[in-house]
Amino acid sequence: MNHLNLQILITLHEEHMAIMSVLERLETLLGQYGPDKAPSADSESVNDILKDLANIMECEIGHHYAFEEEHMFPRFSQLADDGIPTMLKSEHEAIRPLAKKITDLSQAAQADGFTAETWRDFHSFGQELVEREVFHVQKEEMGFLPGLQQLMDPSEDADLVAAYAKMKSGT
Amino acid sequence: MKFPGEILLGAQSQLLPPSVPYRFFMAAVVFHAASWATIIFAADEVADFNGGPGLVPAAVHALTLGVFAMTVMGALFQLLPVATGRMLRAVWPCKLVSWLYIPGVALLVYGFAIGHHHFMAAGAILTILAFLVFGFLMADVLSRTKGEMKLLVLHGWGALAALLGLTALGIAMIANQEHGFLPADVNFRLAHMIIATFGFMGMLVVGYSQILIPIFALAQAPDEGRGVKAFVLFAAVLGLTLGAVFTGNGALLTFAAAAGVGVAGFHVWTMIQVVRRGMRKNLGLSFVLIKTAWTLLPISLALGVLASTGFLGDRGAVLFIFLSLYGWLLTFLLGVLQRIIPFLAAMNASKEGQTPPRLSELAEERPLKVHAVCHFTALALISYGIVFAHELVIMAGGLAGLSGALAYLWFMLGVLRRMKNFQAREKT
Repeated sequence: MNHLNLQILITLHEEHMAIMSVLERLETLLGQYGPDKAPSADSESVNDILKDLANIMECEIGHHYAFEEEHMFPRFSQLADDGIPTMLKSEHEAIRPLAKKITDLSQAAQADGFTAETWRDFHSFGQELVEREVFHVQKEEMGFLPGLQQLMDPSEDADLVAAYAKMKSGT
Repeated sequence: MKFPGEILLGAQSQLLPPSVPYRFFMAAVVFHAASWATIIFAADEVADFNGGPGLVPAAVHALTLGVFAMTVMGALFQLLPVATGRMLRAVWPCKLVSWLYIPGVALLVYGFAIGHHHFMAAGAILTILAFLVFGFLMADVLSRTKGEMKLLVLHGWGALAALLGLTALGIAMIANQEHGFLPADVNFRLAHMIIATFGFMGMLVVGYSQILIPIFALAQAPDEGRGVKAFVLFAAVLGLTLGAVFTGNGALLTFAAAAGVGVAGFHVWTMIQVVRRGMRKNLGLSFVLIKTAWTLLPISLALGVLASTGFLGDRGAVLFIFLSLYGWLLTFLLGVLQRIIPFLAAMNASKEGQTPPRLSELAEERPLKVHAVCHFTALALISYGIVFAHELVIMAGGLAGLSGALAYLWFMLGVLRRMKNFQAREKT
């Protein structure tokens, strides 16, 4: 966030921006309807949010978290401090089950709409997801990525970009 | 390695015992209520206040010392070491500051209210001793922070210099009430108000905004080089303003106040750019307060310019002081504090390495909504009451302010109660 110029950090930052954008739309949706009033199944704007949400949770959080845990957290531990990656990893572990629940509920709602019960669950898990993920992104954007920008050897950048591309393509 | 976000990353591993920051925050919230309550009783004196002890300066000092400096102490003891990475050498001096400062301010405010010199003197002595310990602790942390967090450190030193100046002036003014040694043709009250509001608090607000606002909005921190230039300009304008007050040069004072509008405008513009570029767009109720405060800062200073020319009469000066203190500073601090209180509680509620509770599990939104409505109502009513010298409207404004302050107390107590419950759950 603070003057990033390594490509791998710019990529992670751009993914944070995409996640934040979808979470803000989710937050607005949850605020609009409240826990007791499910939105209509044929609302195009609601379906767009559900689709983007399921997509970003399944793909971005999955790859993004795995890549950070496999490549970036160990580097940070090696170069600076072990406590911060441990804390960020524990946040990943708290967010993953929420992301899974939201993805499942979003996909089900896209097919059949919300019942009162599934909407209440979606609302509750959605709020928790927004709060935890925003706080997590805040920490990574304001401290973790700028830290890596200062600490990392720029010659590692290309290899990390390639490793991330490989992870995303599943090869 | 130093970044604004280290406040977020390092907070959990560098926490003070929660009783340290929260004793200051709790005292601040109580003095906040006391300040509005005093305005209710002082309603007939507010619009045409012209100096001397009484309920009006009691309300003002309950706010400046009881709320502003109290909040600053609680926040800085926790945040400055985390932001700079330089730990306090010991926790007990922070507790000592609270033991001296909280009763000291209470005595001073009571002394002002009843016009009793000995209470004022006793309160002032305790307050000054607390400021000395606080100043020493901050100077120690700042002096160990070399080449990092430049803006924070520069503004920190500026605030400490102002604290020294305002403390010295405060002592002289209290002693002067009994012994009358200060020259009568110098407006020491105005100098004291400027150093306290724009020197001490202004420096801290500008310095800490460089870190806190980007964190809240998830944005890039403002350019450091430009911030350093703005700091130099800010310090120069403050010096010019004080020079104008001490020499009694009205034209220079008007010029300096106008330059102050420019400096304040630049700060507000910088902060708005930070928020605009931020990834977080839904900034919530706290930013309604913070943005209102940003609007009121240049407005209050512009009123100060007009008041310095005599264009608005004596009530113009009162309105300038009211909007600077209750409009800009109080609104800003309450906006920031409603974010810091639950954040610290979340960090304290869980052990290191554990996932902290969600902020919404700790902080209730309803009292903050009540507070915001009451606070804005109070600002509007009292401003109107000052302009038209309407005692009943001022009283109604004080009541609205007090109601808002009690809602804020409800919010604070709720956070503390939930933090304790969460801690108890974690233990079992």
